[in-house]
Amino acid sequence: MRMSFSARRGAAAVLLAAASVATVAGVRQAVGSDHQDTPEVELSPRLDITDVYAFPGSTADRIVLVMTSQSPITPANTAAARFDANALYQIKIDNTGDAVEDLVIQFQFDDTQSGGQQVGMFGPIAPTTRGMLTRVAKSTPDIVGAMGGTLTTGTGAAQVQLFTGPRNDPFYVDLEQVFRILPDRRPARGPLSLITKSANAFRPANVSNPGPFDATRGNAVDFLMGFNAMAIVVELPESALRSTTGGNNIGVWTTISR
Amino acid sequence: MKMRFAAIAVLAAAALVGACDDEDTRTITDVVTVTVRDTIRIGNTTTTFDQIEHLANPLVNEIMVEKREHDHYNNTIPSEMRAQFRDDLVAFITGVAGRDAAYAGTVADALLPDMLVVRMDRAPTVTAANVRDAATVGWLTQVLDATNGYGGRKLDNDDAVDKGLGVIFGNVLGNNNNVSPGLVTDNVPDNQTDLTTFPYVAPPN
Repeated sequence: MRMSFSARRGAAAVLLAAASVATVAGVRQAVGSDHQDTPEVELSPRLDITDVYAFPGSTADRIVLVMTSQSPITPANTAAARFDANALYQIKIDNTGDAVEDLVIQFQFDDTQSGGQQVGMFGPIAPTTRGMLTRVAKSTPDIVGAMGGTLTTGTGAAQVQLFTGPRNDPFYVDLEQVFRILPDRRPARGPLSLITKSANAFRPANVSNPGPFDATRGNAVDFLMGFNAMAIVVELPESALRSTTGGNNIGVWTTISR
Repeated sequence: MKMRFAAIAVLAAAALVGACDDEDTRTITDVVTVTVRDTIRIGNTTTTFDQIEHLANPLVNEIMVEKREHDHYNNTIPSEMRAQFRDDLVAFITGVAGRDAAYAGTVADALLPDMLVVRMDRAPTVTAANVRDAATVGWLTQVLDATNGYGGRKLDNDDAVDKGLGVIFGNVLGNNNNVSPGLVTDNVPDNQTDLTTFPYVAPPN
């Protein structure tokens, strides 16, 4: 199982690299709690999920699900940032405790003639297939409209709200120091790949006299301060995610497929 | 995607044929501009998509799983993760962090299957307006407070890096054996810029 997947993915990454030579020079490092975790998504930042959040919504019976991707996007590049129109973005929900998705919320994007994007959201809905291979579960989106703003369907307690577009990356971490402590997790390209000095501790928040350069000295730095991510934010009633028997415990994860 | 590659291949073949058949050796200078439209459209239920990315709990794949296994991890449904990756997490926590095997197993079982666990009936008075001050809501709170923890993950006041480091290198899950005090926080504070109303994530910089 492991070998076959790894081998297949390796081949796919090579093909991807060969097919997108023109864009490779412009690739940025994607950084978050799961930043550029494979060479494949390093080469295609639009396919890189960076963080997932879930917390109570505007009232106690509502819930917010957030999926950020493509971080870090510089402010200068933010206006041109887009989702991948060939990819399927999904939030998957297990509400029966078996770690298999019972419901999915699916997002597709389409480039428009004017340079913008349309988003279509499907669900929450039972998926047509579970696991690694997926299809869009139905042909008519529950929400469709322009990427970059808030869209809604329904009213009152049943309303579902959707935002898609660039936002501040909410994640914060001293990533330089993380990769000094764990150098084998470094990305394969970009400035973070060049880190060589090793360390065995994090940097202090404040140093009055750091002295000559030393990887263990200097102040801790929020590597993501000032950068943006492409966010998908959904707020909906908790009842839309409960199991048919009313179970309140859910497991949430996000995927990107193409 | 497949249609796009096919279109390019046909064009390339046509150019080759043109050059070979060109009896008077003219240089071909025509520039052909082709707009190749993607074949995937919103709501196309016949296209099969193949998963390449998975994310739920922060830092698990990134930090605790070896880089050569990341593709495999991204290609694993959560229901298979304990069987496939529990040993990887235990190896990291015992090998890199130097913790004992029993504690490593406790941590691995809290993080796998890799889903953000939410107990929606918990924290009944908490809404987005006051969630940043709610101690029972946030990453791993369903483990740290088994009675009242809502779980999930908050935008503010939920330092996933420090929590993750505290679990791996510190005593966050109740074990003081062989902790590494220099590795339990990255000393980066919460930026606290997020909103109390939809869409909650702060506007772009």
